[in-house]
Amino acid sequence: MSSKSFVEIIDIHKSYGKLVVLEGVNFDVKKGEFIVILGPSGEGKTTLLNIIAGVIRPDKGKVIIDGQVVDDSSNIYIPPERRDVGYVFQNYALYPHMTAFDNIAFPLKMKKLPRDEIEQRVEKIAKLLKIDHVLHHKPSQLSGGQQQRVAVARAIVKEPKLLLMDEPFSNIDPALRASVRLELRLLLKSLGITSIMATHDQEEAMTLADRLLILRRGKPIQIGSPMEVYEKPSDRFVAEFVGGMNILELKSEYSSLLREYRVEGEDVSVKFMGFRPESVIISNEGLEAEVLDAEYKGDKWTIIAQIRSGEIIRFYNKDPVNTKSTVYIKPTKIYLFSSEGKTVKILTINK
Amino acid sequence: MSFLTKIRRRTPNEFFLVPGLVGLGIFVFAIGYSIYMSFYRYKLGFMQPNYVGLTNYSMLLHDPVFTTAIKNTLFFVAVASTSELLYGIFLAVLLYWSNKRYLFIPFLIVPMILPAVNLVVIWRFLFHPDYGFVNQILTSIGLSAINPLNDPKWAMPTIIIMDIWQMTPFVMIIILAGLSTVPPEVLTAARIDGARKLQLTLRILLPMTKNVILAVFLLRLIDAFRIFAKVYLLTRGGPGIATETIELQIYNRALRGLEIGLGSTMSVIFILISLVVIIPYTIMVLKNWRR
Amino acid sequence: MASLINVFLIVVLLTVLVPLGVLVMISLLPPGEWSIPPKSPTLDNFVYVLKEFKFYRNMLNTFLFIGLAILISLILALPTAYAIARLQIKYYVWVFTVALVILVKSLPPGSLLVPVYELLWKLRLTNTVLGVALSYQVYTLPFVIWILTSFLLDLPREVETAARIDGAGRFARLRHIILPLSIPGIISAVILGFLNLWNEYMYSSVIVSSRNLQTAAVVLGQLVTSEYVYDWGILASANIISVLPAIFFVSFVQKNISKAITGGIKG
Repeated sequence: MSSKSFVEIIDIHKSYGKLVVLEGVNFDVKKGEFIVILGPSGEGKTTLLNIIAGVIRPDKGKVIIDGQVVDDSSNIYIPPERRDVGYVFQNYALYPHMTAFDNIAFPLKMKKLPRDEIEQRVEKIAKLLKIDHVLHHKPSQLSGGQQQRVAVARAIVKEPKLLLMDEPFSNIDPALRASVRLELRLLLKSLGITSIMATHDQEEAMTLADRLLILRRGKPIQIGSPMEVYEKPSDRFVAEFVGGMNILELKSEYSSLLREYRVEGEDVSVKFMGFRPESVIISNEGLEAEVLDAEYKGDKWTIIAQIRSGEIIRFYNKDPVNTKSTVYIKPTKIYLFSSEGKTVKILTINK
Repeated sequence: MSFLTKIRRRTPNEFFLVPGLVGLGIFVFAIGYSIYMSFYRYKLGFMQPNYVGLTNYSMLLHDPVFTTAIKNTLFFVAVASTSELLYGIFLAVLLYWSNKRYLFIPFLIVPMILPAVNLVVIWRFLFHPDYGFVNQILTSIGLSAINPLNDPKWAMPTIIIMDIWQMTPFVMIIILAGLSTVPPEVLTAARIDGARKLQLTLRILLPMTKNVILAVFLLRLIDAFRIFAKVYLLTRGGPGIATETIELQIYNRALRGLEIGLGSTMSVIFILISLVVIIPYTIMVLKNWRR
Repeated sequence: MASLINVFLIVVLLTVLVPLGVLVMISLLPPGEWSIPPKSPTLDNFVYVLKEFKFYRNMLNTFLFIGLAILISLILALPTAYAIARLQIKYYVWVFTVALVILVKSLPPGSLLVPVYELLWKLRLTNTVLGVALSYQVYTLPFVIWILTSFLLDLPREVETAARIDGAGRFARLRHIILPLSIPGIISAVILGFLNLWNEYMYSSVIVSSRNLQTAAVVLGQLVTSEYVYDWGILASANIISVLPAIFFVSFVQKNISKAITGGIKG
């Protein structure tokens, strides 16, 4: 197993005037890995992708691709034309005046490859992406899904070292999204292409990523596999953003609850506690809550309830619960957060 | 890496500006040349350039014909542009509120395409002292025939009216486009607040179109300096010097008379005067284009 | 209220249409008659202008001069407009170029007539097609740079970024991406250029001296200014004929015309 990194992002900073867009971004990508940058919209993901692609330059930090320093934020800079990366734009950015074939062929044309080789490679990739029958159409004549595939084809036809994708599925019909995502991941894995994708959709990120980078307001919060990030969020933002969590300010009313979790003494640094909707059982003691509503999800019900101190929580249950009834719920797994939001302890109930 | 690619990589982006700059540069050179020649007396083909210092300038600036030409040009520029602006705003507003807008527009644009010559024909014909239609009517109701083109008092206003007729559509259509970009929600909000059309126009539409109005005004001012054709064809600067303009002077004395030196001086003075409008316009565009 | 507005507009419309109507009526007058409307209208004037007077030759000249001028301008303007709109160039160079474009565009051409004429005379290009096309650059070059730059500024940046990532350098981008996408802008420039220059009088009359090379505008001018105009009918019909191409053009691009003109004014 090669543990040497294929792509290294080192201490990237970027500001526009007083606005800090990226701060201290550090991560590695191994060859063939599928990394997802996850974060709310407008908080730096696209900027980071653009820096890796070479479209903009960082104020500080380094970008290394396949052992070569492509940008060191001072003298060394390789422009995007020569970086051998592929990029799938959120809006696809297809060449409107060219056919799908010419769109995909364009990077190969720029490499000055012979005509028949270009034809061969374009047809091959088009078949893989199932768009070989529409190659002679112009982008305006294609459906959204087809356009996306042309954009992907164009990005990978030159077999780039790195593939960058900026929310490639956001314009795809939600009903088709799941299958398109899976297809793409399978394809990329089979071709062995190292990929970095940006998205704000946490479900998408969890499904596709080998590892996730959580980016909030330009700062990296946590890096890890989906399981790590889900089970062990490093702070309250990650906990809420990935998987959803009910977070309550710690009050003395809960001390009886916490005693069950063997919390020794008063841990002063703990200010918040949280639990996931699925880690809850209804019992005859615990948090008292009045049921406000119940939503049917097919395989379970989401119960919305209000606890005594006024906060609204959600939890899952196999069966519905009557509105206006009072229930006592016991979280089976509790996360404790400091006042700054950092995860301090994770406690599981002892049966 | 091929040799060509090496060269390509080394050429800075600024290189792309060269073709345009070369073309423009020739004209800048021409201006420079004019400035240079303005200190000489030079009759093309007849004599060699002859340094005379500032004589040309002092001569022209004391020459009643030339100074009248300057006055006339400025008068025309100011009056015509302002009238066209006001009239254009008026028409644009009318069109904006009209429900049959698209019926009117194609016809109202026509004057813009018409060359000045056509107007001159129409005008001269209508106002011909002997058989002009206008005069036929006037005489038939007992008034005396008028001959505006030969009357020093009326010549310039006639030209101004002609220009207004021809160029107002230009102003009108641009302001209309500007008015159309005012978001309808703002108007709806004002309507709900009880505003009527007139108030909507004065307090919302026009203020929000300020920039376009200013741009068009500057553009017209700049353009108004170019009225050579109309004047030449209509009155040749007459009667007397009532409609003499700077361009006309240049045409007559410099070109027909082949006086390059004097012509250069006139050109320089002309450029200096028009800079008054050109400079604010340049600043406006620079601000707008830097993104 | 709405109808009051339309009434106003109809009045304005009349102020436009009546003089035009007069022009048409004049063109139908047989020689010797000057009553409006003509008692015995005739189309002879039109026939004369086209057949005997060979006016179409002058119109062809105009077309040729303007076409060549715009072509030259397009070739010079496109890379420059691209650089101004999209390439990274040093700030003061950028300001200098844009200011220069605006300056030459705003200067009254009359102020440049003298040096331009002298230059052409020295190069022996007076009274030649090339000479006229070059002199027209005063009008067309800054104008075309202006329109193309405006247009390119509005093109989406992403498509060009995609081309960079696909490995296209500046020349490749200009050729494969920018040029094809500029076509609407180029068409705009051509149409507006023609409308602008069709009636150009000053330069055309000065630089061309031989009769069969003169433009339509100049010939019309000569007809109109002769002191004793007798054949108003011929004069008017010549005018109408010369305006026909413009009207033809405009009716084609009606909807886009306001876009084209305002596009030219952006900034």
